[in-house]
Amino acid sequence: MKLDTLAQRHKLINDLVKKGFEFEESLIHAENSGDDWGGAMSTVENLVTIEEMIRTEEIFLVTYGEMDNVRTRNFDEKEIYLSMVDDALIYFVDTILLRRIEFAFDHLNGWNFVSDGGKKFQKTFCKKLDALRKKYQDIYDL
Amino acid sequence: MKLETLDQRFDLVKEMIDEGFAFQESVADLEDDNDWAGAMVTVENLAAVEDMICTEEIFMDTFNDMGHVRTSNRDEQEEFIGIFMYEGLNSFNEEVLLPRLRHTLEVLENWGFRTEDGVKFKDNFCEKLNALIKKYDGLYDI
Repeated sequence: MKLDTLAQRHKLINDLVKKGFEFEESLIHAENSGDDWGGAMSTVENLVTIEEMIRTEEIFLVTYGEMDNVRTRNFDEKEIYLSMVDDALIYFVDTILLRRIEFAFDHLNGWNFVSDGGKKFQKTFCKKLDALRKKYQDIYDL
Repeated sequence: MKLETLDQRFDLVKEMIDEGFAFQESVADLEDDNDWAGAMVTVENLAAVEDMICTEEIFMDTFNDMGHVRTSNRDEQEEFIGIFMYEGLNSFNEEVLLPRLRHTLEVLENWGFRTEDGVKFKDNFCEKLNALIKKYDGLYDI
């Protein structure tokens, strides 16, 4: 799983949302699936939210890039503004994005899936969420 | 409904989450789980909105901090702050926060609640969501 670039992380989440949605749909009329639908639905909701947070990460990075492009001889002051944006991004990843990934993982991991499909879904998606969490901790040194 | 400040908007969303949970609990034992599901989806959407308002606060705090940087280069400061406002905060509001609010409203509007309390819940929350959307619409498009 390549997650080094924002585009790769975005793609992973996009794929998970799509697959999660398909699985959720498949449970609507399934028999003997207990509360699996609830677990799938709330996981998809969490994944959509994570996707929006990755979009927000991108907004921070684009903003930083635009500010960095401003031509000036006042390098020290420019650095001050840039580092404020950088700090804001780190704080966002630490307190909002990572928390949501952890919440999504914990919620999914703790759900009692009864169908085979549900258990497989749980295993696969937990693995990917865990990889995503580790990558963010790594990139942002958290 | 006071929605002028970020704190007021945040408090409203928190209240709605609490109320939504309470309603969800009150219909949890019904044989028909339709209203429970409608409440659950709404509460989950509102939890995402809550995260987004926290993100809005990060942007606002950074914006304020940038404005406090002591400088004799007023023009440059304005340029940096302007980029941050337009590329950052405004983009976030238009592309992440507002769409999620509208999605929350749309899902709720389209949900057919079957209990009397469910219909009341829906009317109440749609009114509040409409007010929030109206407030956020163009809020940072300065």
